[in-house]
Amino acid sequence: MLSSEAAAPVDRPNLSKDYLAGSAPEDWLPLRPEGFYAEARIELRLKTEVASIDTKARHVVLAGGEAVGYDRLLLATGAEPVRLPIPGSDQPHVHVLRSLADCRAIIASADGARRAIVIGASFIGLEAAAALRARDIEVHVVGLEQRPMERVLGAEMGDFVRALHEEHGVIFHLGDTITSIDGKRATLKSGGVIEADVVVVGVGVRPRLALAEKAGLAIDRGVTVNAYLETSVPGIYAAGDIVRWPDPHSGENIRVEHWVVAERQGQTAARNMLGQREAFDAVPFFWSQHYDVPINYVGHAEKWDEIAVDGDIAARDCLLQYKSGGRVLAVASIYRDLESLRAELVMERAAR
Amino acid sequence: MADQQAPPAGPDLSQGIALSDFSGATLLGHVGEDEVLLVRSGPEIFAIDAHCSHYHGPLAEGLVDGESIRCPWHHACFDLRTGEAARAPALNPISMWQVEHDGNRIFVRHKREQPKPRVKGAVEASGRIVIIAAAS
Repeated sequence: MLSSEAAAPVDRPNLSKDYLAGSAPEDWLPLRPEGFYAEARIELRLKTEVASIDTKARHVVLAGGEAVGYDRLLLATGAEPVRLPIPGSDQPHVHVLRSLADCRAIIASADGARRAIVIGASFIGLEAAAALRARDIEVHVVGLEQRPMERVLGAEMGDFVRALHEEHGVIFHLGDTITSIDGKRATLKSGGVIEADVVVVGVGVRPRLALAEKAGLAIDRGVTVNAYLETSVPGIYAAGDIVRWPDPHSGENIRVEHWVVAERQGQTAARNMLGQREAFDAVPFFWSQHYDVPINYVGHAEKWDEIAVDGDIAARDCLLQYKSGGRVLAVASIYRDLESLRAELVMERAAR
Repeated sequence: MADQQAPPAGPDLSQGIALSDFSGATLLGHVGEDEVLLVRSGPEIFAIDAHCSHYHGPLAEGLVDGESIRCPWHHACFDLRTGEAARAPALNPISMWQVEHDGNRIFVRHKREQPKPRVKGAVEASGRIVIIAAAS
């Protein structure tokens, strides 16, 4: 298992949630305990860059030139946080949030900080905002959108999320962006200046496709795979953020950047690499945590024509159905866990 | 510390409960300090750890489907026969407890030896597998 990161696999959701907030102990982070890899006879090579894949010779070439042969190969290269092409974004107090190293760098910058700017008002940005508020730092969220998370969760949930963060003291600058960061002084497009000790950029990610492209694998806004998560080159599989797979629930080829989907794809890909034929048919699921409010989401709705709200969003007791042509594509809920599980089951059964 | 905590929930399963007192899909009880969940699946009753191995979610508030139970928090799924984590985000199994029937009462006194995971379909040794886990 080759990884360019310095740390063994960690519980990545924690990096924007409890661990960033300072409420998760260090030993929650490793995805597997020390000794697991050796015991399972997995050779884990960290800080190892892969330069290319030779699909004919069936080996990968490391940055230093070493060739590592394979019979089956799994591409799980994940996604790269987008960096802002603005002056001053290369300063040490300006961070993205993806790896454990990124998270630790933010925590180090947050130590003693008075004010933070979070650029981006979607999942990573707002989870980071909540975590920094837990550290008692003043937080300004700057986002191009008019409503946080509207694209994924709709207007009403977006308004609720905004109000929730405002209740916790977050100051929003929506429909706005940062045009330059000069030392601590960040300039808003609308004209103002915010002085901040730490800046977190959470404006989305790009799937890391360079290796797959260079190796000549079929690409369609992601690595194209079949239902078994095998790429266009037999013997090479892919899982996680980079994958576009045929989703039996929506009937579309979709790419999803969520943790649980990535983990489940890894498990299915592993079984198929061992000779099984298991179609990946899990209903996509994610959760997002904001202070004491968890939002659970099952299904996949890139667009919808109706959102049916059951319950009361502001009272944190609700279930939203995202529908297209009367069909439920996805369900978001707050403290309706059993109904969320039931909705998942209904979606599974409908696809059979 | 420990003696100041609230006693574990529900009936003491080591003292047994009447089958007639277990009418729903699940019943939360305890064995000593451990919370144990009784789960009805068809004609069978299983006893499992009451908490998810992922973030400790309360399985008593989850959903039973056939021979599996799903966690309400992050939709992990466990096999009721083996305890194995059938679906992420849980990766580790939960403990299985021995269910003893005595007339119209059921007792849970100790953990079972962890069953072997189910293996679905054939597995071939396919030589060498390489995983590229993170790359720039």
